This record gives sequence, C-alpha cells and structure tokens, in this order.
Amino acid sequence: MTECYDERQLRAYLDDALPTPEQLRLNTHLGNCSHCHARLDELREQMQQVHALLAEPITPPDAYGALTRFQQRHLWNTVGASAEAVPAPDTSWSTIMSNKAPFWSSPARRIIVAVVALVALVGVLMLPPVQTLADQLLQIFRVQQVVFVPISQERMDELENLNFDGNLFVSEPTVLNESEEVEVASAAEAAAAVGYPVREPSSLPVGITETEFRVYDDMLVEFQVDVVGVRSLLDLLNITDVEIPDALGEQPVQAAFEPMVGSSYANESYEVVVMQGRSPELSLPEGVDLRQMGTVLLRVLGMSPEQASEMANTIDWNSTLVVPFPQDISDVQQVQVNGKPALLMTGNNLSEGGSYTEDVQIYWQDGDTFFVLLVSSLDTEIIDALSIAESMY
Amino acid sequence: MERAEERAQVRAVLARLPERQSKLLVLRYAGFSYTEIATTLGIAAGSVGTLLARAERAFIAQYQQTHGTLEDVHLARRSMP
Repeated sequence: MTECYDERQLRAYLDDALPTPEQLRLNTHLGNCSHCHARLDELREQMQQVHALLAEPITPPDAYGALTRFQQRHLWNTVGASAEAVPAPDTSWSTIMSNKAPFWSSPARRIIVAVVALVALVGVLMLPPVQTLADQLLQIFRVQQVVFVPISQERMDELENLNFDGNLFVSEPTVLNESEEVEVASAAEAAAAVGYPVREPSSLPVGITETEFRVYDDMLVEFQVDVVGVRSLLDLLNITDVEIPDALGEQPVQAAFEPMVGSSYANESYEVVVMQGRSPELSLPEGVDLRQMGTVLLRVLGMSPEQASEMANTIDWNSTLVVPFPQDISDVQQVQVNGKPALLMTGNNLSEGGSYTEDVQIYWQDGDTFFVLLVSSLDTEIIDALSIAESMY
Repeated sequence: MERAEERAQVRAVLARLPERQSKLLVLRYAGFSYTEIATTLGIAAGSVGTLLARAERAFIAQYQQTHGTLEDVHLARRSMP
C-alpha cells in the first residue's frame, strides 16, 4: 500500500488543486485506505459547511477582478505593473474612511488599472490586417460605445487552465509622461481644469459630510504586443479560423488618457466615488484591421466563427470597446444608465482592519466619456447605486 | 432582511478569526485559485491546502461558539423561499 497523505494534500485534492499525477495517485490510494478516506470525508464535510455559510455572502473582493478571470490571468499582472508607475493618489482619499484603507487608498489607481486592462484587452486581441494604409503610421481607436459580451464559465475555466503568463501577450506597459493629481474646490473648477463638463449625482444618500474633487493629469502608456504569444493562445483554444498579422507586433501600442476627474462624497459609514473622463485613445500599429481583430476577440470569448463574424459586422470597431463579463455570476449584471448599457458589479470587501464593506461599481460609457461609480457602505443596508448613477442626468 | 442579517453574522465570525485566515476563506470561496491565493497573501502555494483546512476548522468552531450548531443554519437556509 502506498504511504498515507497529509491534510495539505487531502484538502487540495478536494479542490482539484494537486498536480494531475498526484491527484490520480491519491485517488487510487483512497480506494485502498479507509484511514485517508475517513479524513477526506471530514475535510469535505467541513468544506461544505463553510461553503454553505460563505458562498452567498462573500463575493470576489474586487469587482473588476470578477469582470473576468481572463483579465486577471492574462493581463492583470502586466497592467498592474504599469499602475505601480502611476503616482499614488494622496492619502487624503483614504483618510475619509481610514478603516478601509486597502480598498480606498488609491481609487484612481484601481480605475486606471481597470481601464488600461480593458483597453489592453481590446488592443492586444485585435488582429492584424491585410489593410495597407501606406501613408498612415497609426490608426486611431477611440471608444464611443461599449458592447458587453457574455463569457461563459466554461470558457473562463478553459482560459484559466491554460495557465498563460500575461507577459506572453504584451510587454510591461510603461508610462511615458509624469502624471500628477491636484485637489480642486468644486465640480465647476474640475471642469475648467479638464475642459469638459463634469457630471455630479443630484441624488445622494443623506448625511454626506465630506466632499472632495480631484483632477488627474493626462497619461500616456505604451506597450508592445507579442504576436507569437497571441497566436499560441489561439492554438491552445483551437481557434484556427482567424489570423494575427505580424504588423500588430511591429510597433508599440499607445494608450493616451486625457485628464480625469474624481469626486468623492462620504460620511463615516459610506462613500460614493465617481470617476469620469474621456475615453483613452489607443494608437495601433499600421495595417491592423480592427474588424478582424474584433472577430478574434469574440472568438476567444467563446463565440462560434459564425456568431463572431456576424457580430463583428454589426460593430463599429473604430469606436467600440468590447467588455467581456462573466455569464454565470449573478454579481455582475448588465443594466442601463440613462439608456446606455452599463455593467453593475457587487461584492464584499475585506479591509485590513478586518471589517467588511458592501460595494457596488457601475461602469458605463456616454459618448466618448466613461464613468465609473463606486459605492461602498459599511452597513448591510443597500444603497441604490443605480439611482445615484441615474441622478447624474 | 434575513439575508442581510446572515451576511452580518458571517462577517462578524470572519472578523474574529486571525486576519490571514479570514482573507484566505474569503478568497477561496470567492473562487480564487490556490496560485492566486498564494500570490495575494504572499504565502507558498504548497501551504494553501494546510492553511485552508485550518481556517475552515477555525471558522466552524468560531461560528458554533457564537451561533450554536450549524444544523440551525442549514435548516434556516432550506426553509428560505
């Protein structure tokens, strides 16, 4: 008889987290060893009890993390690295709710990371073209509308299981300019600084004691696409009906962010933060056919060749951002804000102090302006984030 | 209401555990992989199994200490519409 297994191995076995050969050996061993079998049963029961209590109340700590495991696996690391280069916002943001530092200490950074990730996702997966625009080095992509594409749990698992290193697709993004932030006195002052109207929610929870406005400088981020890496991903997913042109990797992709405005409305038990700004402008290498790249993206997200091609034809790829969202997670819903498609994500957050917050994030795009609304509450009572978003119109 | 109450109870129990244990449970039951958990918490991937088994044991013990048996919980949940 083989040697018995320890708690570490047995517990990991339940989560299918052991390397496959070990998983199989343990499985065989269980058939012969009543001792290990009994211990496994105990661990399983324990796991099921905890699951019954935690599965519903606890949702992913970062709603953007929930957006897709795909992003986390393939892009988050690289993009996160670029975010480190972004100057950390002043800590006064977090002093508003000092007990929630991990979540709120850098709201701007989180959102910048998320937006860069979304843009990178589009940029990286859009395929190269046979288009030869001889006299133009780069073509411009600017988001004006958003299409949400559901991504199934199966496909997310599949992408996750590939264990792809994000660095295979894109080089570590570099921030090309010095970017700063300043606090201003009002929304009007912020609008004057950025040069576009700044929206404010007219309906907020009662009892706001602190209001703050910040303006974030423009920022230029650059990264290089690894065409070979993207091709291997397609191979692994058995997607053979699309092609990635060499041109995609020949020049760096640049994402230019115009100045953004962050406003915060808070008291000691909740905080509402609104980030708004013009959509980042993405400069792609010459010869990159946006529609073809869009088709590839839709294929990777799990659409059939026919579906992907049909949908790709209905989308204006020069101005549309495709955002994948997990299909089977109830905490991510597609909603509308002022008639525009929006993504609403809910979750609980654990702060370093051990306290929990209920968080809601809504992302939508209105013309060429994007909005991210974050509502974080220490109470279990639900603040209607959607009404707050609607009240901005 | 019941659901909010239940959430509050679970949070209270988690808050009483050592920080690393509660984080580990939150991450795992939010669907994070062992590798992701290890990276997030700065622990070795190989130790996740052991730590998780311990954290689960501690969570159940803490829950029972505060709220009585787990049977009540299961019954309450089943009777919910």
